[in-house]
Amino acid sequence: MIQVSNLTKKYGQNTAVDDISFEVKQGEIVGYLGPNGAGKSTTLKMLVGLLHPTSGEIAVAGYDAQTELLELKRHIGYVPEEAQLYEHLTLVEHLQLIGRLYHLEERLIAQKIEELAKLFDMAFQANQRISGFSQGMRQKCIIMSALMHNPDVLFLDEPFTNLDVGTVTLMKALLQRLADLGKTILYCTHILEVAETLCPRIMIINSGKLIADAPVEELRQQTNQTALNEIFAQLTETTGIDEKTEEAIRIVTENTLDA
Amino acid sequence: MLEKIVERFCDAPTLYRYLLQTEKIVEKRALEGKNDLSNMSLALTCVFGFIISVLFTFMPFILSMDTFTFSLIGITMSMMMIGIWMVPYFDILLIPVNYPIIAHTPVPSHTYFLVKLTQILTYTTLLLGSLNLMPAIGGIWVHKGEFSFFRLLFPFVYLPIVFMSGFFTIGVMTTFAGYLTKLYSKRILRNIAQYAQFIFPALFPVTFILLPRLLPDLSKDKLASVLKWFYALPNGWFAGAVSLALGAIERHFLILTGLAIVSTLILVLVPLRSIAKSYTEYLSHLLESGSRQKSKIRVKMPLFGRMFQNRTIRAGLCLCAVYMRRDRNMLRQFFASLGSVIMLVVMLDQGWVLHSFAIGLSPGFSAIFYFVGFSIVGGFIASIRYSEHWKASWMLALAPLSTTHDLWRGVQAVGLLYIVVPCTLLMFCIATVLWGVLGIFYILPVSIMLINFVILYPKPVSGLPLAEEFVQKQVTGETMIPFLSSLFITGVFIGIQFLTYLLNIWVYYGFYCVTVVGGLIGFIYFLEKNKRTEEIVDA
Repeated sequence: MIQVSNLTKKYGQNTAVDDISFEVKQGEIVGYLGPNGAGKSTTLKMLVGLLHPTSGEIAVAGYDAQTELLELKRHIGYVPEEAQLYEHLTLVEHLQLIGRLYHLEERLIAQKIEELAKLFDMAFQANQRISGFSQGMRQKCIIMSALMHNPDVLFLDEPFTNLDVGTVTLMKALLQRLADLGKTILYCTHILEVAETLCPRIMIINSGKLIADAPVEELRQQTNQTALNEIFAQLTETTGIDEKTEEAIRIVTENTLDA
Repeated sequence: MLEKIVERFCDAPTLYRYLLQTEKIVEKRALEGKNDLSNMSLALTCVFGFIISVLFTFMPFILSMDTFTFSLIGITMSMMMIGIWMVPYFDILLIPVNYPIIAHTPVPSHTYFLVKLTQILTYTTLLLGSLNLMPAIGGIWVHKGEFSFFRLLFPFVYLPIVFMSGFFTIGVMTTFAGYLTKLYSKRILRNIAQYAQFIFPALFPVTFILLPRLLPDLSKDKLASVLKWFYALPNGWFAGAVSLALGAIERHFLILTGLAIVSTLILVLVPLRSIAKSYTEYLSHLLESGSRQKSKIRVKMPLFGRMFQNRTIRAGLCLCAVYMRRDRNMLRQFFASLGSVIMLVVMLDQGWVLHSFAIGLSPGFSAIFYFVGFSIVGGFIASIRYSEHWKASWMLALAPLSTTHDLWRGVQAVGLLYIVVPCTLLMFCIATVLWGVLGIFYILPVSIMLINFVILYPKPVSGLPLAEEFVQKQVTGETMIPFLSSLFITGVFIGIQFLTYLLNIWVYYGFYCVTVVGGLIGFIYFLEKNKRTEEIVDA
């Protein structure tokens, strides 16, 4: 469902994504992990057609990103990490806009808006302007937009940011069920606990390079670690946490100048 | 110096200095990315004020007037200008953008209020200086342009008092704004400021129309009795203080001076002090969204949305129609363009529009309609490219749209349905009142030209509405083009009408027919061309 080969993105001399290749099958949920600035969001932006790759090939839902971008866009849903919204629109107007951009029927749009708003506990805020929404409400708004047109492939970039526990639980179950229905999900995060429970397969990117791509069990065996955070730390060579903690404590608690 | 004075009133002077310093740095850096014209807006305002003040300075040489009248005019002009010009700057006080950053820190309310007030007073001082420096010198020659050594004191008396009157104006406005924050939400306050910006300048032409009717033949004796009415107003009090300080020791000037001093003291000690104490409470209240929750979900479509089967056009139309009503920058542009409507009212009132065509000094009804329509439509389309929410255009970029033509057609539809059609109907009503059923013939050519203008207006590079950032806006070039073009084309239009009418009435009719028929052909041609382009892209 998602095929990426030799994907590279360069900003001048800086290489954000460095020659990565992977494949995701239909109905799979794949966790795409990495530290801050590793290149996760850049990869996703290239996969959804918002950024042009410097080199490499992308195919999503059987459509080539270079030659059939329009068809590709019709089959995907995207939840960006820091999404900006048209703040002067209400939730209803925002979802209507999205529905129309995906050429949905007006009656279907109205029906979906009502049902999605109730599902995400946003019925009371449906006719309020987005400018008055909390961060969590905005996130729900973006998730609803991504689900409106029943996409075959979902690209989720930190989708649970600012969400309340109830919605996170609902979303986890929903993503699982969508995968069972044959939807493909690429889930990008640095919160390992969620990735561990939701994604049977994990890809780890560090400094633009794909350094691991395997089922969680396989990664455990490879690294001789049981917890995903330990696997992650070992693979991304995140060391010296104890020393850094001690240093942080010293800085926070000091009240006098050093001699 | 101003900061030093304000600092004396402050509970926490060190904190006041740090906060003010930070605000200055933030303000300076915020302007760094902006274009030259935004950077220069304050300087341009000062230059404009200076030019007005120079014109006023020469009044004593032309008209005979005493110190009180000269000071009254100067102080009134100064207070009015400060009142109008400072409305946009009141956002600094009413809705400070950086307040949430320091809201949780132990900054006293009084101190934060003084920081914000200092920022406004700094602008006020600059404007007051530009407005009053020349009149202060010109005042030396009051009394039929005669010079006297005693009157050399005029600038030293006039300037402090006029500055005091300016600060009094700001004090009254702050008090008013402070009480408004108690009553209204952030959004309503912004709207009030927005409307005030439009209404105050609009009062100028209205007074231009009304005053001559109120005061038909004002003789010198009558002027003295009219001036007495100003004793009841603050500008009269401050003008009285100038007269008293320059040696006019009269009972009424003494009372007026007393009123000026007492009112300023009361203003500072009672309402401003009270607002300063609970200022951060007001701001915290404003941070609450304040919108009422409604349990029923209402999914509606704008009236004109139903006219378009193409959903992308509909999406573009609905998005732009909402932004046209709710976006502050677009409303500002829209209100500014309504100035042309006021011009039309003035022209009709003065009898400058007697005919449908240009004749003599009258530009003609059609040309005026063209200018009004062009200004409003141009103002709308020029501003629809930009939005403070330009980053949200990722949604439009992500959508599976083969071309951006249809989205832009939505914009065109808004321009036609929300501006050109109402504008045409309004002008048709006026024309019908003036010339009966024939009015439609005076409206027709211009309507067609406006429709073509909407269709031909160049699409932005991205093709997406609301997708460009304000800092990228090339004010000098791009936004001035529609306005300058409107002036130029209207001029050409008037010129041709005038010429054709002078040559022969049949030449005029010929020109009329060419405009209507040519416009219609152009309209159909460009519609077809758009359709063909879309078909090619789809293929």
